[in-house]
Formats: sequence, structure tokens, C-alpha cells
Amino acid sequence: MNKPSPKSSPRLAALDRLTLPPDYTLGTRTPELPNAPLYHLADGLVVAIGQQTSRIMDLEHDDDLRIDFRFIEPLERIVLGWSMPGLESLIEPLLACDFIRPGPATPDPVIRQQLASLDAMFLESYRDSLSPRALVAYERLLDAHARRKRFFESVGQCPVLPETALRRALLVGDANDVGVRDVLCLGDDDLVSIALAALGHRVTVYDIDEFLLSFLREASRELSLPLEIAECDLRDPLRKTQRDRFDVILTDPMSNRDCFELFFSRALALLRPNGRLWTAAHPPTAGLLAEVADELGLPVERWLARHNRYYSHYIKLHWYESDWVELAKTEASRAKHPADDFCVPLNLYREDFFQRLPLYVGHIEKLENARMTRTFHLDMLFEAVELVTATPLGARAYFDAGPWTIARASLPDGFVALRADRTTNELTLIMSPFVPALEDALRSFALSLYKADAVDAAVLTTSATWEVRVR
Amino acid sequence: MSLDTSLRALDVRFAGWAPGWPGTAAPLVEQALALAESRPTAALPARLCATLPSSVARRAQLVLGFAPHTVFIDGDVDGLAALLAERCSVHVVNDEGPAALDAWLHQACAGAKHAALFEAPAANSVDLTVLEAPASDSLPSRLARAIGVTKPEGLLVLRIHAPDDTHAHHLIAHAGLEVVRYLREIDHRWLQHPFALDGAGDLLVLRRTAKTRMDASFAPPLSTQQHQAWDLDGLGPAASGPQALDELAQRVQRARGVEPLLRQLLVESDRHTLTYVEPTGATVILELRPGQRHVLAVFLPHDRSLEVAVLNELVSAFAGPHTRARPQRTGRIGPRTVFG
Repeated sequence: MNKPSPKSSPRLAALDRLTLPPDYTLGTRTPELPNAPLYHLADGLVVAIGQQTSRIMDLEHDDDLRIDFRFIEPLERIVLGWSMPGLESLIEPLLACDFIRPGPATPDPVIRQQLASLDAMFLESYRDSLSPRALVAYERLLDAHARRKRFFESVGQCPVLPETALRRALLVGDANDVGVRDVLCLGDDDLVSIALAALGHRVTVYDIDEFLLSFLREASRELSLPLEIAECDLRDPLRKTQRDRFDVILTDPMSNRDCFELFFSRALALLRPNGRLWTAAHPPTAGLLAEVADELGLPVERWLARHNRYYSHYIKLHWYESDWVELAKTEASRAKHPADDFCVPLNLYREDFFQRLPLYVGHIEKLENARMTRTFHLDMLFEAVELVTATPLGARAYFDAGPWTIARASLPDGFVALRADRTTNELTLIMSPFVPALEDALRSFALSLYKADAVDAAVLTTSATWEVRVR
Repeated sequence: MSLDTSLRALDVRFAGWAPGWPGTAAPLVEQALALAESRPTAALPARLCATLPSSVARRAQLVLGFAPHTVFIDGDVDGLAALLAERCSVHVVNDEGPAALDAWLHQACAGAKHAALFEAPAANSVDLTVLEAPASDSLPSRLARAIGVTKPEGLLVLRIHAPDDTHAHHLIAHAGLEVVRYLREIDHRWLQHPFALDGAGDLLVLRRTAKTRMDASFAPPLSTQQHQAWDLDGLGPAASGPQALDELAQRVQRARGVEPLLRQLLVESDRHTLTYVEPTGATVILELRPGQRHVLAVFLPHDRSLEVAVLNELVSAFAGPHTRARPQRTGRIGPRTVFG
């Protein structure tokens, strides 16, 4: 395993010291060994596979460990609760450090509890309206999400909360009320198929992630929910047998034109006449979605703002959220990509909107030299920062109004502003976008000038803001 | 399009995520919609936004679910009092004014089955209090008043929009209030356009317990200076250049009726930045990127009334059919953060 060390999680620290057997070979996708003892990943552990790095998270210790890519396949087998051929020598040490536990994989109680508490924030608003069958569907979703424990970030996987998956399924309806529908999940990182099957529909899943397909097969078997599961890369032509098969399709592509055009084109071929397509779109790309739907002749039937709430592999809310939009296949609908064509190259893994970098806001409270926060002093601060960082702070402007002074300058791609308030004895630094080297210099100079005796600092970060308070 | 039609469309779009809604609450939604239509524009305080009919109906349904005999509403721009007065007696206080708001509420509550009194209730007299602080620094005094008039073991329904959550978290802990329920993002605000804002507010149901104590002068262990950032995406063609931003500044100034101390426009090749400072020190920096159809609005120190005015003018001047306004989001449930 790779650094960093030391770890606050004892089991990650122990894992860090293990190495794969030298004769272990990768890529074999070894099938199950009959009667082999089964082990599963211990509670509170999650595997996240990224483009550059992969990690194991220990949720209970709020710790993570970077892992060698060669560990991914064995880890996926462990997560699936499969046997571990070729890794027998690791079993004892992994058991000893509580990384694996004996027995088949089951829903992780730590993850289940965390997901349930996130769900509750939204579920509280409508739980009373759910039918007994919908509540059962929800429990199954919660179990399935708590059992997965592996995220494939490289293909944009970021699942919706189980309660969101339930709401998606409920928009298709309970088969007892709307009749049994042929429903396709075009990509099912969100495990909506579980809820749809629990509500009585005939459900098919197409996905490109082998692990997810295996996981859904296991879940389908364990929960006795019939799912048709197939590997499918939408960039490939569709088989004749796949076409005109579905009443409803649900999909959650990344919000960019290539994705919308590809997914909607394929959906048009897969849907029966008058079929319905539910798709997600990140709110800033609402206009793009409307544009593509219009170009392809897919009228909007319903548009539910911020319907979809997601969670990260830390099992916390993800900042990302999306609208949920129902489009109708009509006689006027026309695919951009014919069903028989290959669709390459396409740039699928991106979001088509202006993604500003985080804003930085720093507060220095109880200034020791508040009187030295006039235009002259703040300009000196800018000068020093410019000199040290070699970043031009252009188009400077100053405003001095007695109780406060404001200084503002342009950055190559944004602005920086200082606001000294001599009534509250506070200096505020704003920088958009957040440039770490610049912030470091600005904060260091500001602290040396105004806060030699800081007692503590608090940092609050989101995807959109870095906020630091120094007291 | 009539206000009724526009609000109905926004209501379905933004409140339509919850299964089974409105169900039995449909009459409450209709009543809230009728109230929104009847409210004169002059009745809205500068610091506050109205909320969508479904949000008002949800609040009413939540309150009525506790079967209170008497409710105190601290700040009511939506006509919640009229919805509740059919089932319980209500006290309403609107510290933010204006007089037209109380006049409209009087009329809305006329003929209700129970009394609607436009005065603060006596100490320890109401079963439940609904409040929204219009600013972080007024939250301690508002919360102290709410606790004071609510019976022991009574409930408080606190409406919170970012960035007040950081203060509120400290206040709730300090006051010894028990968190009974937490409903995330159901309080959808709308601007006069009409235009619904993303990032709805949360409702916290709190219980006054034997341990509850609150001093109105309590200052949370943070600076009182809060900030808020908004991203507006998918702007229309009017958001085209520095002239548009300059005109926007003039509109804000007209709407506020106060000459700013600083109104500086900086023009650059790909973006234009407006710095606008009011005599109170309230500041907004707007960074418009016409090529990206995006504007970033940073309010620091945060001032709710300036925020509402600027958002109103931004939307009126720049919104296209698919414009969305995303705030920095409330990120806490009690002592822990929800994002990660």
C-alpha cells in the first residue's frame, strides 16, 4: 500500500504495511471458488477508485489511505463478498487488522445509519405519504446502497441518496396502480432498479461498470428481485433486439451536449412509441438540456427542480444536485446518432457550465493594529503580495470611509478585495478564485501586521467557498 | 402570464419533488396562492422574500400537525396567520414592517374561525412559535423573545436560510433547545419577477426544555460578519457588457433609495466587476462574465436587504428563460456539517 502515514485509523495503518503476494496476477477476474470461505470488507470501510488515485476510507476514523491500483481487483472481490483466490496468504493479516470479516457481504451498518440520517432530512417531508410497498422498496434501497461500498469516480459515479432513488421510482409509479411497465435504467449507479423492481416493474439495467453489474446481480439474487442486467456501452450500435422495448427509461448522464445527444438518441431507439425518458440535468445546464431536447423533438412533460440529491464516498451530502426532467418520445422525435452507428469520439466526462473555482474568504478578528488599515497600509499589503508572488495585482481601487477601508485589485482571472472594519476591529480578505499561493502570502502578511498573537483559526470549506477565521 | 399561473408553475417545479404532495394539503396550497396574489408589492419588507405557496402550506401543515391552541408568528409576509387562524388562535408581529403588511394580514385573517392578534403574546403563553430572523445579528434577540413567550415544553419552528446557519447552530446549542425535527430545503423563496431561487431554506423544530435559557445579548463565538455568495447561471442576452452592469447599479440604487458610498465598475476583456458599498458598510461585489452567461455576487458583510434588492434587480435585468440562482448552501445540521 502507499502512504501517507501515520494513520488515525489502526486498520488502515496496519493495511499500509501489507503487500500483495509476489505471484498474484491481475486481470484474471477469477470466478467464484465453490465452497471457499467468504469474507467481506469490514464495517465503515469504503473503496473509491479515481482517475489518478484510489483510496480506502475508514468512515469511523475519518481517515483514508491511498492504494496501489493492483489492489483494486482484490478489493472489489472482497466488497462483492466473493472468495479471494491467490490472496490466501493475506487473509490472516487482513482479519487481524479488522479489514475483512468472515462471512458473506451484508449491508454495512455504519453506512446504512449515515445514509438513513442523510435521507431523513428529505424523507421527513413525505414519509407519511408512502405506501407500505414504497416503504419496503426504500428499505431495500437502503440495504443495497449500504452494501455497495465501492465508488468508481472515473466514470462520474456519484450516486443519489436512497430516498432520491425511491422518488425517481415513484414517479414511474407502483405497478399495482399504473400497470407493470418495461423500464430501463440506462446506467444505474444510483440503484434505482432495486426500487423499480420492488414496485413491481420489469426492469432492465444497462451499464458499463463490471463491478456494478456484478453487484446488481448479487443484489437481485439476495433480494429476490428479478432484474435483467447487461453490459452496454452506449457508444456502440444498438442490437435490433434492444430497440422499441421499453415504456420508460431513466438516466443520469453528465450534463454536457455530447452526453445529452448520445443518451437521448439511444433512448429514442430503445423506447416504444410514446415512451417516456426521465433524465437529470445540473441546474446551470437547464438551458442546454432544453435546447437539445428541442433539437431532438423531445417535448418536456415535467421539470422538477433540484429533485436529485447525491452523496459522496464520505457518505455525506455531495454539493452536486440535479433537476429531473420527463421527456416524451413523439412521432416528431429524431435521434442525433442513428442506432446503427458507432459514436466516437465523444467527450462524455465533463459538465458544460461555467464552474468557477472556490471563493476564498478570510476573517482576521480583533486586529492588534486596526489604525494601520488605511488605504496606504492596504496598498502596501498589495505591494508586498505582488512582489512575493509575482502575481500582478492590477486596476487597484481604494475607498476610505472613516470606519472602514476597502481595497480591491484585479487578478489574472478574478479579483482580490480587503475590507478593514475599524468598528468591529476586523479585516476581511476576499479572493475569487482562491489561489493558494496568493492566499498564503496575503494571509501571512496580514497576520504579521495585524495579528501576531492569534489564538486559533477555524476553516470551513465547501466546493464553492474556503472560509478561514482567525481569532 | 398572470401571477397565479406563474406561481403555480414555479410551485410545481420547485416543490414537486416530494411524493404525495400536496395531497390533503391542496386546500392550504390554494389558500396560500390566493394570499400571494392578493398581497400588494408594498407589503413586502425590504429584507424578506415571500415563499412559494407550497412552502407556506408545508409550514402550516407542520404547525397544525402539533395541534397547538395558540401560535405566535414572528414575521409573516406569506399570510401563514390566515392559514392557521382557521384552526387555532394566532399572534403576529412584523418588526420589519411595513404598515401595508399588517393591513393586508388584517384583511386576510378577517372572518377566520379563531382570533388573530397583532401583538406579541404574554410570557409563557403560546404552544408554538414560528420565526425567521431577518439577519444573523438579530437572531439572538428574536430567539430570546420566541423562547420567552413559548410555554415550557412548547415548540419553536425556526426558518433558516444561509448564511445564518453558523450563528443559529451556536445559538441553538447555547440556548439548550432540543432539536425535534429537521426538514431540509423546503422553504422556497421567490422574487418579484416572479422567479424562484434555488437553495431553499430549512425548517428546524425545536423544543423549549427545562434547560433552555437565552439571553438576547448573547453573541455567538464568531464575528458577526457573515458573507453570502450567489452564482447566477444561464443569464439572458441582456447581461452583455459593462453598460448592463452599470445600469444594474443604477437600478439597485433606485430600489434602495440610498446613494452608495462607492460604485466602482472595472471593465476587463472577459469580465466586468462592480463594487457597490452602501453607507451602512454593506457591500456587494458583482463579477459578470458575459461569455459564460454567469454572474457571481458576493455580499460581505452580508446584508439581507441589500441581497434581496440586488437579486431582484439582477433577475429583472438579466434573467433568461433558463436562468438559475444558486446560493452558498446551508451546510449544517446542528453541530455537524452535511457536505463532504
